[in-house]
Amino acid sequence: MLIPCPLCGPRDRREFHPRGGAEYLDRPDADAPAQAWDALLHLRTNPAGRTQEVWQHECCGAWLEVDRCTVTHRVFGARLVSEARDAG
Amino acid sequence: MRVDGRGLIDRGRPVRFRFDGRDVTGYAGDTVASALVADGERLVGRSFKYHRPRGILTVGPEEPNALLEVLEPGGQVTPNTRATVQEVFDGLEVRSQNRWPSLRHDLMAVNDRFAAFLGAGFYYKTFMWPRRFWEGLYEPLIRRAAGLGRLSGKHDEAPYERAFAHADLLVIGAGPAGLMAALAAGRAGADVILAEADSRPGGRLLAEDEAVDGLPGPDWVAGVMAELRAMPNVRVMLRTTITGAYDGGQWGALERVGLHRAPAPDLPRECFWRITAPRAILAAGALERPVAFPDNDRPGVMLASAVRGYLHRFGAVAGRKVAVFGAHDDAHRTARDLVAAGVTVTAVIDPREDAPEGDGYRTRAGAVVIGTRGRLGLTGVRVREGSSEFWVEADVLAVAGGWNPSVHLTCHMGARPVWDADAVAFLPPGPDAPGAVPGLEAAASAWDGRAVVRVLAADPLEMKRTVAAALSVMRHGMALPRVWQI
Amino acid sequence: MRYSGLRVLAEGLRGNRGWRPAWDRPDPQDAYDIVIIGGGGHGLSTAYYLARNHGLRNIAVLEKGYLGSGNIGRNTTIVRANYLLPGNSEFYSHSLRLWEGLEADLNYNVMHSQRGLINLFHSDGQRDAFARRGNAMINQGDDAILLDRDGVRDHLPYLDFDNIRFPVYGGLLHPRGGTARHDAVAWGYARAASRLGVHLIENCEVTGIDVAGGRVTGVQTSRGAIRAKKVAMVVAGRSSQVAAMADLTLPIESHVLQAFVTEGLKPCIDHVVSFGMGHFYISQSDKGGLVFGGDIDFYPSYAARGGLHMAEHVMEAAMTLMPMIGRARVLRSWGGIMDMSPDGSPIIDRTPVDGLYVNCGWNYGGFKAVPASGWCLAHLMATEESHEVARRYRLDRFATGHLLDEEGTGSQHNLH
Repeated sequence: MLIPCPLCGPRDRREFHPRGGAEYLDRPDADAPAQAWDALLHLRTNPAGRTQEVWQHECCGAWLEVDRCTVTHRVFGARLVSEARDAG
Repeated sequence: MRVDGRGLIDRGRPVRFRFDGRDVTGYAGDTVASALVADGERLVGRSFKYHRPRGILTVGPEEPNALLEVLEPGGQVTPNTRATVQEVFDGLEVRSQNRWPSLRHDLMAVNDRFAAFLGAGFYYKTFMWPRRFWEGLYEPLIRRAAGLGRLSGKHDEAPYERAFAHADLLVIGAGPAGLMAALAAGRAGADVILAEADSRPGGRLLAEDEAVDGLPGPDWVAGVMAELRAMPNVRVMLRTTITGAYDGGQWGALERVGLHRAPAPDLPRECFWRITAPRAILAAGALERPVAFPDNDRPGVMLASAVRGYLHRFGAVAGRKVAVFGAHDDAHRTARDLVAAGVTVTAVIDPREDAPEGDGYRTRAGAVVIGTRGRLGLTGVRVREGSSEFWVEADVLAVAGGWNPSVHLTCHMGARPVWDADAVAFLPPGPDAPGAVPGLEAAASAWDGRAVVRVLAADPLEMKRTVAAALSVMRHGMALPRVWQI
Repeated sequence: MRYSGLRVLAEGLRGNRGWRPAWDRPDPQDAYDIVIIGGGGHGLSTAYYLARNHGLRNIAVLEKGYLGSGNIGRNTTIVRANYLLPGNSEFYSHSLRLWEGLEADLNYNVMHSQRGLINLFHSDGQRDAFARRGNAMINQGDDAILLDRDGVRDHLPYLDFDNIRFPVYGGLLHPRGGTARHDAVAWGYARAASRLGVHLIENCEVTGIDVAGGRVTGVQTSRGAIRAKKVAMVVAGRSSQVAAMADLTLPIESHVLQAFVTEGLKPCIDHVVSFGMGHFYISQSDKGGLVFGGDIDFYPSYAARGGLHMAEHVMEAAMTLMPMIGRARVLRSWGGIMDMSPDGSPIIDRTPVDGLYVNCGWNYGGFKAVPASGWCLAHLMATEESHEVARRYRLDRFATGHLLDEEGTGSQHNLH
């Protein structure tokens, strides 16, 4: 599996650390109720198919939002988490 | 026995090795199996459960019976080695396995007598009482009887290598289809890796009496290889088996670097390659199917493709009287080749009523094999023809049950092979099937249900199709961005 | 038909013509009292114990493929009760006791073999951790023996004791740990459940869960609608998809775990051995293959196949620990879909939908749990009370902070 790091180019999967579904990026407000924090930390939509995930490229340290299929392992693309957030 | 004037072995270079403590002489270019065939050794192993005597069935890595232990000085052992893959070298020592006290006299063969009580899964229905007897008695007995070869228990301190390679195109198999695919891609300027599990390129062209472009098969192969070797963009990897298809165009490959030579301290035994190639052509050919009939596992019953392979590649025949059983023309091709080499063919048993008459052998049309005799080695074949039954004398029975294309790699990501009633075989899933391996295409010859070589060699159109397929694949491949710039 | 050595003899003498199919294959009825989604080990054992322990009969198990075609059909077959945390300890202890009587109960030889399990340690910290774990096991009523180097050498002479990076300091022996024949567990439960009247329905994929007024009323399947008073989701790696049919989101992430088996070998590894440093565990099957595995591939996946990186990693761990294995040849490998939970422990509980139950979150370790998992889910469904050994396996424990984090790695699914 090759992941195209926006900073480093396509690199082998072993350089990356997976952190799970991109819903992890949707952090609740600091004063959100406990239920919202439970959802962030524990609940997962866990889709079978194309989805957005959070990975870290350990070489450059960048956090990426990776567009990937969990059934075929095909990688469609990746962008910096900061860019993903700016794009909404 | 050896047949004069046949085979690609080097008769000027005899090689001595030991099988079960006995000296055997082969020639450079032999495998253990071919040397044993030439030596007249038919009994090489015992079956897993009933310990039935077994002989060499195939001429390739698909061999199920001839599994041997390779012994090294110092006591190291490599179990379950295919005699059909292990090349001979001076000082090689191999030993049969899963028998006691000897291959000829195996006490565990008593299982065969009690087969009625040892049917599939019998152990799920018994050995439950008393409870503590399972770990104490039943299971140790079962474990001792099970298994094939043995590990020495010594640390494996031999050197191994690990390496990486990158290419635009990986061609899997160096038979005629793979050679042509590599040639087409190489001429087009692509970086090509041509991986071949055998020690010698050519595939079935080494095992058949076939001409290509007016040249004997092996000579044609040598010509193509010369051109490939001269191309800086083509890397030929012999003794290299592609073991798996993985994500991102990665392929596992295991190269037998030193297994065909005497061990040396600085000689790696094997090298595990991780090959990255966005495109691959599977040209792994096809494996012949055996035929089901009672006692079809006796030593001396061989695939017809193996009988021809031993004859043409190694100049060896496993017996003096050969019978052939099959419902298609490969049976007759086998008989013709044997007769031409001066070997007696006692009968071709062909279930088809309109089976062709033999030239130099007798065809039993509309007949079938219903049994065999000869516990440690075949002596006769029971044939039913119409309402009559009779024995045909034979110490080898060549069986031709049709061909199974080697589709395995196309299924490594979950796609299922597709049954094709016309080809009478499972064909590779299409490139768009769910779970298909991205970038992998099966070459025409690999999925043709008929004998690979005949199709390719006899029909120039088919050859062109293979080349066209290679080129079309390459066009797609070249359109992809180069991931690695070396 | 009762299975026994005498029966095998008698049938052998009669040409083996008297055997009957091990289980019936009925067509699905329009309605059942209880529908179990998933015909793997956990689903089959749930159905069996519902019938056996609670006298319930109107039960169907719906399996989208064939019985035992998921993780029960291909795993590393380890059975153990060597847990540290209250909540896990009593559950796995109960499971091990059920294993010890399973053949007699099911009248099926699942080849449960208590060959002993040895967890090796390679550092001072690990020695302490295993001593502590051993005491927890003994407190629970299970068995544990702390072995020094010579003690390990007596059992496992083939290890590389003086590996420069991971020298073997000792091991924790769990004598009652061992293995079982995984397929036979599915078949044994299926046969026993079928004998008690449970309907086992294969090639029946659930496509929807019917809920009315907050209560489950049945399921939609590829073989038609089936009404049910109670429905249990016992589908391992597919838990999130099935739960979504009832608009539920689970604390589960699906990951692929690989397993490997070598060609058949004469007996050479007598125990179950686990490497304390790399994640690697191995045993030898009765057939002779060395069965081993390692970590998950770490990224969410529904592809039942593994990545080359983890395959290589597992082989390297094997060579580091027991270099004799270099001469064995891997026959095949397989990837199964694991239902990873945030704390590495399972869930056996009700859901917010009345009458809908969930059994999932088995991470790596579902095989050894099969008897107790079915036992406890059956207890919950039949009595509406959690079984005492499974009362901490609640679905809401993540929200309430009652996590069972055996590895202490925190709330990240792929780290357990």
